[in-house]
Amino acid sequence: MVDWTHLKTLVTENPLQALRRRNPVFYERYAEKTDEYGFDLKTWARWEPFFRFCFEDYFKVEVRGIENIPHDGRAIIVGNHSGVIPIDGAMMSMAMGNSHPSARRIRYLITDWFFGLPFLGNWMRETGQVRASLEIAEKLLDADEIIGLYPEGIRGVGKPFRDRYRVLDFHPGFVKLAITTQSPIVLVATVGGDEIFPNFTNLRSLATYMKLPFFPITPAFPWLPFPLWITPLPVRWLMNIHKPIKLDYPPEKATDRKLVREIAKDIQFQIQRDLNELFEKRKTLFTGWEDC
Amino acid sequence: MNYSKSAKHSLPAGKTVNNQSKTDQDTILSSQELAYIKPILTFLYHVWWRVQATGFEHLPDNGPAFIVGNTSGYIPWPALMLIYSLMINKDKQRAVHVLTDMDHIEDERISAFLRALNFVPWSYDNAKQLIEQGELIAIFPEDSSVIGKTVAMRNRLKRFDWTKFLPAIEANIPIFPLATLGIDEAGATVSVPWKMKLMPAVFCQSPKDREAIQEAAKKTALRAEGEIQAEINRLLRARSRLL
Repeated sequence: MVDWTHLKTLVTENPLQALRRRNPVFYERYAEKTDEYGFDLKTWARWEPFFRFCFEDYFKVEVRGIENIPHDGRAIIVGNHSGVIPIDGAMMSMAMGNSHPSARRIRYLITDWFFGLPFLGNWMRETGQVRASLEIAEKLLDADEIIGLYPEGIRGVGKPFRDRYRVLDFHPGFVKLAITTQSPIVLVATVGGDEIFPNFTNLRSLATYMKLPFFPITPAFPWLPFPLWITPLPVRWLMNIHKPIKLDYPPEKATDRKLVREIAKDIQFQIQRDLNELFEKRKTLFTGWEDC
Repeated sequence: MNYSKSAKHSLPAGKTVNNQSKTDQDTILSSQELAYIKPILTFLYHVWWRVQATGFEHLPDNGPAFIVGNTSGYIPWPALMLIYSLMINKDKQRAVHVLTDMDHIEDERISAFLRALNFVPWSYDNAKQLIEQGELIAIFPEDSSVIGKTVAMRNRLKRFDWTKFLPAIEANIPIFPLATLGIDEAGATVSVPWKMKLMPAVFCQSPKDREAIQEAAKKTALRAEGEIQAEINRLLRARSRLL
């Protein structure tokens, strides 16, 4: 039975007061701080109940290993991308904000294309996302923030259904970043996200014409009216968070392209292996792993 | 640590160091069993599965080397296709010994037949002996775990058994990942085209102490498994249609 409490919170209460009462650790951490990249606690508090509804009641996300994310200090969260509408980052932020003893925000690095969209760009900034740039990422890590990124890039979001949970080759930039800033890397394998919008095909020429990264054909899009085509399937999710990897290399090693590429490959293979195993152990699409 | 198993797992007669007097080509082409099976392999390779094998130029002309591949089902078809591929390859004609768990094969006739085709029961000692003889060795480290794979799991690899990599790590020989696409959809009954791609050798280091060797074997197993899975993913994306 779906619990609508979170959505009621969305419309009936003062969002900041509700956040302060329900999640004091998170509120205290960010209430008095100004952020040069536009994070606004009020916007976060307003939208958090909606994503918490998705996390707890709709997708019923199971999180394993949340304790592996450092309580303090910098970290880079790396995972497999999914979803057509990429809400995997939002689900990870919910896990970190609500299930971790030291509730913290994750600053996801987002491709510039999203920031160019009307309304969405500001909304993303205010909920904590930043433009994907090496300079911004280094600054955030130097400030001991947690950053999140998907090394498959936007290609990972537009994967067709038949390629679900098959990771694309990782861009190795995150390894360079980890070595330069001496940050641990935390791997996250997510199963569930690739099936919420089954993408049967991608109309590339139409996507190019409309200046979109991809034009998916799903059971709902573009046939059904808004908002039905953005309603995801209630697939159970599982996020498996690995122990942090500390790369014991001095910062000058960040320019060693071969080393950086090899480490990125190993991380990609580790996530792919985890996805294969989790996918095999899942009982059904809508009941998840509870009886395994 | 002693990796050897029972006497039944030792190398069969004729597959010892004495075999070194024959060339690889002599060994494989003079096999009576292969003469029986060659027309069948030819049909499967060229007509039924239309195998496209590439990347064999990476293999050394001589000396020991490991080929590590994915497999599927009860009958080790990829191993047979690999043997045939290397047999007909004009530039890199080498015999390959398939080191595999044969415990689940209960029929003694099938077991004997496979042994005659250069299948060797997996044991640490057998692997060491073949390496010392300078042979080309193929292993399929998913082994019997792939039997009964579901449709949803097709073209997704099971975790590689890292202990199978120990002899290669200790001997510091190159390990070549071999990705095969088509086996999970094909079986012997469906004519799905196969693609076999041999990739460049993954790193192989030979540390001194036992613990470091085991760590290196685990790392190499992950690397080989990952390379094969990534290549299968690429081949799948490039495949326009199944048949």
